[in-house]
Amino acid sequence: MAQLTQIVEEIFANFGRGNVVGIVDTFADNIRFVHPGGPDIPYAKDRRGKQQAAAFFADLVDCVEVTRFEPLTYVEQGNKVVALGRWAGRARRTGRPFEADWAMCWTFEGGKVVDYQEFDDTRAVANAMAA
Amino acid sequence: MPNHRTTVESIYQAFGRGDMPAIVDKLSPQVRWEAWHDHFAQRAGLPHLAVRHGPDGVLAFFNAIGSGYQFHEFKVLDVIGDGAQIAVEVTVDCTVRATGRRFFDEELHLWSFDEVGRVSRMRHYVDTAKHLWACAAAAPA
Repeated sequence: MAQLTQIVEEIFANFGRGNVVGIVDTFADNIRFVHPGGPDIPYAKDRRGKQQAAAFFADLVDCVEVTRFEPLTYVEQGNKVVALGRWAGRARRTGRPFEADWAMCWTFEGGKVVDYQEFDDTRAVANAMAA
Repeated sequence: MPNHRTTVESIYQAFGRGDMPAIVDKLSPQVRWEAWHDHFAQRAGLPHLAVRHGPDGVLAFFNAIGSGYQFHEFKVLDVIGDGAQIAVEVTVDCTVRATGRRFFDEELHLWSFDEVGRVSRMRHYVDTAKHLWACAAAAPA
């Protein structure tokens, strides 16, 4: 398996274990960390730097109980890894469930993640969050 | 057989010059366009993200975006992969003609290929909430 894909797989394994320190350790200090979704999804922000990126995981857990996280396919070339998969969860505030396909693009420099862009069915998630 | 990366690059070049026959030439007769398990833009009936099948369905997609959207900028940032699936990072700045709403989106396009090198599936990974807003579509239940 390609080396950068292995790092992304380790990130996902740490996500499953709730090991945010292990995840953030793979990030460059100046990481751009982008989750789409706008104001309807509180954790969806355009973040800069390790500290803000680390805060994403606390924000996510505040909003969502993740019930399934399933990476399915990886495409790696050069300094980028695209991961494709599916997740399911429940909005904590409303109790409403959702499922969505996602894509994530991870860009590396010097073995560290410098750019993370997520793509999601944001309306599916926002609907679950709406009262 | 050309490699899939070259095929994808040629499709975006053809899109840029409006050469639909050159795009259709790269498609499997059984191509599945926007094949998803579930998708809220499809539930809301957005025409540019509708499920379509075969080359005629893909032509209907391009007709839908040609008539329904004014593109201010369409940029291919990167083409990633050299295997059976190719991922493309794209930025789009466009206005929905029916609503006058302009939006900017970062998208990921995923292209899959059959055993003879033709496009067998294509998916747009987009910020669906943003697209529903731009089309003034009601959020589906």
